[in-house]
Amino acid sequence: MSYLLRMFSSSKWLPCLELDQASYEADAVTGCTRTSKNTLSVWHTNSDDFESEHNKKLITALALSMTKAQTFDVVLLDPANITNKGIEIVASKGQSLLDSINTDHRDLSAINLNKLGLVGDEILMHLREELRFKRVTKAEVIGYVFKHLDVDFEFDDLNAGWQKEVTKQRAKN
Amino acid sequence: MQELDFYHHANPYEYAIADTLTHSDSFFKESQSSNDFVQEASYSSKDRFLASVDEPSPDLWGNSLTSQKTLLSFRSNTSFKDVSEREKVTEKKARSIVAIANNQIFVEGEYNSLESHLETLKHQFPDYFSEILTTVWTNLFTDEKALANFLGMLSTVDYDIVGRSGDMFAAACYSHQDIQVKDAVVRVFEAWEQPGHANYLQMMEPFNVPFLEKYRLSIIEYLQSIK
Repeated sequence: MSYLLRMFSSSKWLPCLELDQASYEADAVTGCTRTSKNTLSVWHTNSDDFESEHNKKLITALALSMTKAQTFDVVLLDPANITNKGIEIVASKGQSLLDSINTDHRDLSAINLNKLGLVGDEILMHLREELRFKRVTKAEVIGYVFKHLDVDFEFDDLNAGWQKEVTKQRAKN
Repeated sequence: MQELDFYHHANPYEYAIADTLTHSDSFFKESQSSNDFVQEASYSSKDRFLASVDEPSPDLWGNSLTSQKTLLSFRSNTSFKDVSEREKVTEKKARSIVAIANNQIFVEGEYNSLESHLETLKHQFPDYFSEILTTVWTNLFTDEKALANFLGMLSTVDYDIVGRSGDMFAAACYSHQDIQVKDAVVRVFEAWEQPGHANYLQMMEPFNVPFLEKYRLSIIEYLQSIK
């Protein structure tokens, strides 16, 4: 069984739980399912266990793309549900600092307004049914990053926000 | 009415001193004899208020007011103007923060300008900072979307910048009924990594959304584990 891991914002979607698609709040769509070149970024995985090593690596990649260490939500979407909605899943090399997972990157391609709503449907289904989503805390994220630091990437590879966080954590220990 | 405004806008601490120094007996008698307190207060001018102190007379406890008069004289030369200026600055700077809450959307992992703005204000107006944040709170509390958005951004601000003023802001927001606001409060306390904040979270009403309640409890545990 395969899944598509995506970062999302549960707090932005919570007000939409009881709404039909046409009434989804714009902040949820524009703040959470933000596209680039009409694509949405996801990561392929074969495990639905957020604690699996592979999924932790994917979460680390997402965390490192952030401007600083922060809490965020992730969801494991079902690829079959996505393709059944007419959304194409295209392999595209990831740009993560973790080279070993970059081949797992996928794009949900040719996203338009209608397809954004369909992706929103999927995310809300997971929230409603409390299915395959996780809030990754800041402490967890920092732990994941430290596990790969000096192994898969160096301090100098990190952005300014992460360098500051790593320095702060090292000073504590 | 201008004079009434003066009294209403005075620092409560100063007002309390003034109330005592103007030998409250006569002040209250005037007020009570009037059918309209507001009208009475409107001609209880600053000058009369200060002049009354020039007459050496005992305060409520029968002590001489001489030394207190000196204190008030100093205050009359500076504080009335300062209070007005302080309010102007506070309002203006609070508006600049509210504008960020209204014009920028918080997205996890993306840059927002709140941290640099608060850092600048803290540096420029260290004595006003707490009042500025309080004014922001009063402006945003009735707008749950903007408040939740602001709290999201606040979670990206270093605790060293906001300190105790931030504690009050975040804790006061948890009384809000909006679930996004309350979720954002937990996020703020988590991000600030202050062990003492575990107590705030423990005193807060549990979420009725299971994953959020699990999150709140995990953050309490995490904060308690920080040495």
